Amino acid sequence: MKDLKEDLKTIKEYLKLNSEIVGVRLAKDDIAEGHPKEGQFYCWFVRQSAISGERFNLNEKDFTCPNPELCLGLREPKYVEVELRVKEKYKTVQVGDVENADVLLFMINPRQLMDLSILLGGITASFKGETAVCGEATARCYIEKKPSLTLLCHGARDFSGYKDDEMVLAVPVFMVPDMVKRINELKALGH
Amino acid sequence: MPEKSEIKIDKVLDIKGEICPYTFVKSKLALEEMEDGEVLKVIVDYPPATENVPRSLEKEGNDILSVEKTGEKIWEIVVRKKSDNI
Repeated sequence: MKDLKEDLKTIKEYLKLNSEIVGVRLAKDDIAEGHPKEGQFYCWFVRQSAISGERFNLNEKDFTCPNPELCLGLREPKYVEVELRVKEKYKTVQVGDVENADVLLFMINPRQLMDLSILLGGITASFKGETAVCGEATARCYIEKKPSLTLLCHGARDFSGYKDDEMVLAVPVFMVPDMVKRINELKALGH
Repeated sequence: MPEKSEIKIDKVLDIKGEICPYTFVKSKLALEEMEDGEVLKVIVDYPPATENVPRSLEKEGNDILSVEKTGEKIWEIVVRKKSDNI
């Protein structure tokens, strides 16, 4: 854990990232504590965690946008299949803490994305402006175990406060040591 | 629950072309302008709306009366505004 926190500090410094890297864990248990006082969009909780370091435990009642319930395994679809969804059943989405996280979310600008793509050896992206932070970033990264970029959706930009130059990249936690190794290689080469 | 043909629709909201979150945001706004117990039909052409519109309205205590595919890419969602006193 100490290594992970040190590694993330190294990555933050390299990227000149002013926001926190947000851990997301899907939990099978109902977790009673740590819920917000009021419901919000999932993407709002992620941004809030990125700018303030707050942590949230979230279940179905905490989401005012229904999409993360489907994308993140809290609920099965009733009428149509949903393209990007974790099919295993979960009860709580833990947002914020990097300890035991499955996925790390980076709230970044285009320059930081460029640097991340160099650290990751390239990113193959697919997005269409729907179910963005919940589906395109978190769920796809969780399912495919590889980085996933979203340029966000109207929900994120119009209701959750994301700025025009902000986007979100999801990265599996297991890729962090290789990212740090690459940073150290680049630093050794004088970059 | 009454037969579908017996349900009186008080308002129709055609939001074809809208994607989330405006599908459920506009549906909520339409219901806010209606009286308790009145029935709204929402017409959508965005498949995920058939999940997120009913779910969003149901979470606020409204009754989802039906969700039906009526065309190749058209769905109709019929919802009764929460009616605690009816």
